[in-house]
Amino acid sequence: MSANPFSLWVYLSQSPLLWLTVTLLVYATTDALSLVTHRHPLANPVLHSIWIIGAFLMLTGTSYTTYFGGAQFVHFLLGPATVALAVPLYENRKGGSRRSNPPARCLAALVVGSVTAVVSVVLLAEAVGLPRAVVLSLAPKSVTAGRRDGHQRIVARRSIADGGRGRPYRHHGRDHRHAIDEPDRHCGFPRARIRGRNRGAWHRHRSRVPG
Amino acid sequence: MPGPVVGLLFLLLLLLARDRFVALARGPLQQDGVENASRGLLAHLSLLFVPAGVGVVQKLDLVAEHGIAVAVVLAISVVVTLLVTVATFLVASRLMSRGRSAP
Repeated sequence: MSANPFSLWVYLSQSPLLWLTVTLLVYATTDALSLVTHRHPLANPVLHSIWIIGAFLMLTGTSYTTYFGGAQFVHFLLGPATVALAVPLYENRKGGSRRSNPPARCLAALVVGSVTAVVSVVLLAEAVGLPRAVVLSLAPKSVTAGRRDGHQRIVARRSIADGGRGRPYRHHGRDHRHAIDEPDRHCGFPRARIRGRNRGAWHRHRSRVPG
Repeated sequence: MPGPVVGLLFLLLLLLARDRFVALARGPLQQDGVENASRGLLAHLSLLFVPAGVGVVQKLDLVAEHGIAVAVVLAISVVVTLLVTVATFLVASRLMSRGRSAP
């Protein structure tokens, strides 16, 4: 290796691959920790990756632009991943036709939830007196939160439907449900409890539906 | 409409069309090719938000100034949204099961 460790750093920091590697390594580590803690909300891998990488950038005096030069390859995959969401939708299409059309109420919950998310966050932010730019940046964040709520409904239903169909997502080693609602970056809200409650509602509902 | 959302719709339509027309079931559209690729991508969806999230280092002054207010606003908004969403879901379920049992 190099006689001067600093020159090695200078060499590495010129390459965008360094930041790609840092992103992947930090995420792999935090994700492993999250698995060890049984996906405890406070061990959210995204949350911890962000501050660890952020601290690393500040310590090394690296600009975000430099970092993004490497991390953009990960960021780019967001587009394909959004397209990939068609597959869970596609695999859910059949669950809808039996038993009182669940997608209709998922849709209702989704629309109302999204609107509530945007309206509530904007009203609250303005009431607290946050600057206009901050209010505007909060609004679209909540759109994804609303979508996530809708997903939770769909996913909770599917996890039950799959139990019967024998095509669980679990065979990929990771809990797919976790992946779906992961975009939640305000992390760790009592997701599990809500999901559990909702699932109970679904069971109650099923037991009420005749036939 | 954003490109990825258009792509989502196209993929959904393509998958549905594949079930109807056997001629389309070729290449990655057969034997769960697309499905497995998508699952692999979605299993690591959270990783894809890390680079954008790290962007917060550019706005640390803003975080220091308004961070607590933003956190409180987000927390309250999330609770309100979850409650309203669950309530809507339950009300809609009830209305629909009533509609079915009393035709």
